[in-house]
Amino acid sequence: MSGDHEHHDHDHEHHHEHEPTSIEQAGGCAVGLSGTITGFNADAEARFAKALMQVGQWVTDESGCLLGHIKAAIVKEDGSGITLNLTDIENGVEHHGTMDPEEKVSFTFMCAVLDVDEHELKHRMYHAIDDTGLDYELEEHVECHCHDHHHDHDHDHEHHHHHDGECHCHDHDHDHEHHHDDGHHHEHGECHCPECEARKAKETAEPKEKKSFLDRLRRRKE
Amino acid sequence: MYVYIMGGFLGSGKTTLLMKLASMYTKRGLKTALVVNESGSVGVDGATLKAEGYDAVELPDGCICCSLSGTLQSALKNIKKDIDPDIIIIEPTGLALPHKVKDLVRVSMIDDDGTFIIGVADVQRFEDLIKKKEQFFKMQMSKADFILINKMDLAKPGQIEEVSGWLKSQYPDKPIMAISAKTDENIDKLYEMMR
Repeated sequence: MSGDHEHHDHDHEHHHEHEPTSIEQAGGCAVGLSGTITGFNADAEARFAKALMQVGQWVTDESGCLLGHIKAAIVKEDGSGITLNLTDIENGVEHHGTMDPEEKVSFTFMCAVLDVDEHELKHRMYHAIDDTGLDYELEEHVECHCHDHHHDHDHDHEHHHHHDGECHCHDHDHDHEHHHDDGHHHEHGECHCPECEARKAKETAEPKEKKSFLDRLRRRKE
Repeated sequence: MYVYIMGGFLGSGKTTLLMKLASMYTKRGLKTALVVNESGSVGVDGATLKAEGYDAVELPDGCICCSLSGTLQSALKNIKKDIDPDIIIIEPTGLALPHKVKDLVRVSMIDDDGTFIIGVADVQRFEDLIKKKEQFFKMQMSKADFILINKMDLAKPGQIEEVSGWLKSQYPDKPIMAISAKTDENIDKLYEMMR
């Protein structure tokens, strides 16, 4: 009898176990993005192909080789259009179909690859699109914190990229805990010292003209 | 009605082969339905097929061998009811296990005359794939009715023999053939094999 009970318990446990999907079994991940591009032409197609290569190169660096595919479809309202396909870095991006210049097109960008972090892959895809310089809009809300000023005071900048190669977060002379001589301390809030106030005033008076990827993201977020 | 399931890893050329087979069957007057599945929420293969003049039932955002198994069964029933084709070709994702798809076709009660798995191996990246994911590749090929070594147009000298030798050692009973879905090499032979 006790054996039966044990057997029953085992079965019961088994039913609640998560059965791995085939993607999990393969150690793969799939990420997709979609949106629109304004002003599509042959140059834009070449730029988009470059984005695929950029992601492909990152996957290769990250996992040792590109096992999987990186694809994009760029289509008109009627659904016709072109597709780009990258499965081998050496062979480059394959272009299927042709499309005349269009005022506005929709795109889908998809990666299914092995042995990379899914979130980081998506992040790389966002940046690859942004680096194309195309006039694009993503359908999906994007969470990218690369340039957010949320320093931990122990300087944990693990996921903090600087595309211009420099970090200007601490250009002012404060030590990072903002311990001022007068003893006041801004551990989490804003610093109101004259230097910071002047810098903030300058930033407010001269908003950045360039509509960067992050600016667009923030706009959408708002 | 016959059902063909294309099993093979990501980027092995399944979509190109799917188009080739669809065109081959259509030219011979057979009504053919295509089902394409992609893991990402955003499908691209459907657009590729459309760009090349084919219409397909797209099943994105999951895998038909596991998370979308119910969706596949419904799609097959609808295809049978609405189109009643002579041939259905299913292209699962490159991370799917084709034998699971075959089981789902069987239980979907579409009254098929036979369901076959076409295993597709990419000669170019075969070595990398075996190095990194040998077990998974074997799971994909284990129930294939025959195996195609694709992209023979891109193979380096000796590569096809090497891949073929490996496959024959693993699957001595399965027919194995090198093809190029892109440049049509051995596509006619494939059609003879599939008749």
